[in-house]
Amino acid sequence: MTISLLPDNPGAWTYRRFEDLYAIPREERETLQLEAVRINFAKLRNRIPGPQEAG
Amino acid sequence: MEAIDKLEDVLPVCFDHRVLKNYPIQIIENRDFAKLTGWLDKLTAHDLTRVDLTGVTTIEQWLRRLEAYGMLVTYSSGTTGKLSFVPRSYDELGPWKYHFFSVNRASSGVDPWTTKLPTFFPGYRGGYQTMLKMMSLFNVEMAGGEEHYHTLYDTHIPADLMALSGRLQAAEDKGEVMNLGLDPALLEQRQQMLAQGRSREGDMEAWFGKLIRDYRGQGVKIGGTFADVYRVARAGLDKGMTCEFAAERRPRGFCADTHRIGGPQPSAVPGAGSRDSYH
Repeated sequence: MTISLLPDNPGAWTYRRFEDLYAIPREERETLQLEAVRINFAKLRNRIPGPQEAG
Repeated sequence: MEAIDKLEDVLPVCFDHRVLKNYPIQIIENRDFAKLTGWLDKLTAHDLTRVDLTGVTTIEQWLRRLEAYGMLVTYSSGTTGKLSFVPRSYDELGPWKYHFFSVNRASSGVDPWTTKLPTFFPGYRGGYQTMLKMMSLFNVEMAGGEEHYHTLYDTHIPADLMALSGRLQAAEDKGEVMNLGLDPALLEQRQQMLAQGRSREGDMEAWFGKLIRDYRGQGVKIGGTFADVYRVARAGLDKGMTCEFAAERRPRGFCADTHRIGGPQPSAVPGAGSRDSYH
C-alpha cells in the first residue's frame, strides 16, 4: 500500500489527497473497506433502530 | 443482519433514500416537532431525545435547534412533494468538507485550500436545503469569505414553504389558502417568493451583468444547478455578452477558452449538478 490508512476511522481517509487514495491497489482497498464496514457495523448495529421501525 | 462477510453484505442495512421521507405528512401539517424529532431519532446514532424543542413552531426553527444541538440536518428539494431530511451531524463535517474540496480540485484543477476564487452562484443563499447548506458550509470559504461569494438572492425559500408547496398550490387553486391555518407571515413570504420568481430573469441579467463588469480581468468560479447555469449562459449568449475573466486562473468549464458566457464543458463547473446529487 502506498499510504497507510486505518480501518477504524474511514472519515479520516478523506483528509488524504485523492491521487494517493486512487493509487491504492484494488485488493488492498477492498480489504480495508471491508474491515471499516465491519467495525462500523459492530459499532452501530444496536444504536440505530432503522427503517423497519421508522415512520 | 448478523455479520458482514463481504462488502455487499452491508447493503441491506443501508437506508433506501425513501426512508429519509417516510414520516407521516400530518406531522408537518400539524407542525408536531416532537413527533418529527422522534421519527428522525430512529435514523441516527445520535440521541435526539435531549433536543430542546421549546417554542419551536416552524421547520426552519426546528432545523436551527437541531444544529445548535450538533446535528447538520438538511432537506431535499422536495420534488416528490415531500421533503427528505438527511440526519448528518457535525461529527461528519470534517470528512464531508475535505471530500467536497477534493472533488472541486479534481474537477477544476484549482486547489480551494490555497486558491480562493470569487464565486458566483445564480440561486438562493442560506437555509438548510442540502445544496444551499453545502454552499454556506464550503463554498463561502472556498470563495475567500462572504464578501466574495455572490448569489442572485440573499434569501432562501423557507423549508416550511417547500414542505407545503404542493398543498398550498392545491389550496390556492380552490381559493382555500386561508383555510389552512398557516402563519400569515409565511403566506406573505410565499407571495414575495412568487413575485421573485416572476422577476427572476431580469434579476439574473442585472446580477450577472454587474459581476461581469466588476470582475473583469479576475479569476472567478461559477457554479450552480445545470438549469440555472444554462439559463445564465443562454441569456448572455442571446444578448451577445462576453466575459473577460482572467484566463490563467479560470477553472475549466464556464467561460473557458472562448471568453464567452457558456464556454465548453459545462459539466466541469465546480459545484454544478442536479439538486438530487446533493442529498
